[in-house]
Amino acid sequence: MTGEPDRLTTRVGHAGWNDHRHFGYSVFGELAGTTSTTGLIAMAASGRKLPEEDCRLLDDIAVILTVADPRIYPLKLVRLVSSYGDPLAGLSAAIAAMQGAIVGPQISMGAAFWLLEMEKTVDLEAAVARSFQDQGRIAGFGVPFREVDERAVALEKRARETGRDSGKYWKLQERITGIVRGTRGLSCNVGLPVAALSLDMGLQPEQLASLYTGLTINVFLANAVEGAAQAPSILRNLPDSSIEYIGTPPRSYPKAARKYVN
Amino acid sequence: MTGRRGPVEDLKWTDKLQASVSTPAPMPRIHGYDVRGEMLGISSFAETMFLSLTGELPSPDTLMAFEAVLVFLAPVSVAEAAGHASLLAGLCGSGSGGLTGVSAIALAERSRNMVNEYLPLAEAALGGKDLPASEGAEETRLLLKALREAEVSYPGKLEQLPPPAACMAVLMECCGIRNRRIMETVITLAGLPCTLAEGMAAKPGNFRTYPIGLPEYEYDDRRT
Repeated sequence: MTGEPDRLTTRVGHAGWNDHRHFGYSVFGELAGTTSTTGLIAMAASGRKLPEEDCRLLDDIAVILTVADPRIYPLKLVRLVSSYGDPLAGLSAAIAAMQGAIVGPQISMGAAFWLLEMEKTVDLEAAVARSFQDQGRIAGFGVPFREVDERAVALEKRARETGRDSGKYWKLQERITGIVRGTRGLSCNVGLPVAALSLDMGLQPEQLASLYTGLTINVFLANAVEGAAQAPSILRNLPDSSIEYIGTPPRSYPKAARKYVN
Repeated sequence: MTGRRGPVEDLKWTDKLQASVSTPAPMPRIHGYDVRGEMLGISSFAETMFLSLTGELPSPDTLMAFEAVLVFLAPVSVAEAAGHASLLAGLCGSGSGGLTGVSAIALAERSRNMVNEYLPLAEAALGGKDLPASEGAEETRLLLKALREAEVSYPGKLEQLPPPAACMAVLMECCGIRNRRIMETVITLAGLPCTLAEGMAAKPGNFRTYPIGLPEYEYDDRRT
């Protein structure tokens, strides 16, 4: 703890008697009535109040990221934990499971870091090829179980409709997507355009995992609420016939022989 | 799902859930060993934990070293973030799921941080490097004394290590635990009962007993 000040500082909030402060704003006087939930989540992740048009874009992204099918892995996890009847248990588990995960909001963060790296290169095609060679897998590329990520297509359409397709990072991701499709036959997943749009809004890569976890919490929450209301016994305990044990075959516990000696 | 089609309906998927550690009840086995039919009454919880995490039973020396590390790492002070967070969860009246979740996540973060910080030291000591005496080395000597008294041999050069690094060195050399994730899990599990108990000891709603200004925060009202 040496070198640290005795007092910590915070810009996040102060609880007052008649009003509260949040990132330099009066909650009742300045934020109430002018700030959307998206605006608050964006402020929480970035520390600043985003312009309304950026909040609308974040709304578009959050809507496009809404794939709420309870059979999808993280959402099944929510259902399992909620199956005892408490939605908040499922929601907490979902957020915990996203830490360091290879699915979900971490992908946009990884893709954003990578876009910044690619931006610095002179020969983009060579740099992209080198990245794939060195890392094998690049966040923002690869679409499991289907040819194209339909969310990326929807987001591209929305970016065109809203004039967001002229941003520096949007253009960069378009070039890269073309290169990767041509050289490796891979299409991008939604993480790459989300990263590009976020960078064009001035957001930092390290803010994205938290931001998009917050913005897509509806997907977890919906599954937690319905899952807890259903509290289905099938999820609490699957039938034995649905389990295949692939571990070590039965063996004798060496100390067991001693147990029966006397 | 109302006749709608998507990847789940149209692709071929396996219909079995694969289990790698435990067979389902009745008479469940862990990594092949019959827990209730053979291990019950003989095996300690520490041995069962070791088996679950590593897939093999520990030798008597390994088990002794493993238990020593678990006991050594069991206390988690309320001064530490994990104990403090658990206490706050208890004060807020969190249910057992919430309390366990908070404690486990905080402890796992602590373990990850500990391994990041101390594993290089442990590896250096095991590699034979001479290290200066660290803060807490006298506590390390208590761990090593317990091992000596149990006639568990351990590599030299551990005496100077800070306690977390010494525990990691013992886990690696005496218990064969070199997998970082398992090491972090062992450290987390060792501290879990104590951390949970701190949370359970807090009286829900007894907020006036909590020092809200510890440590102090200063609000910076500037906007970005």
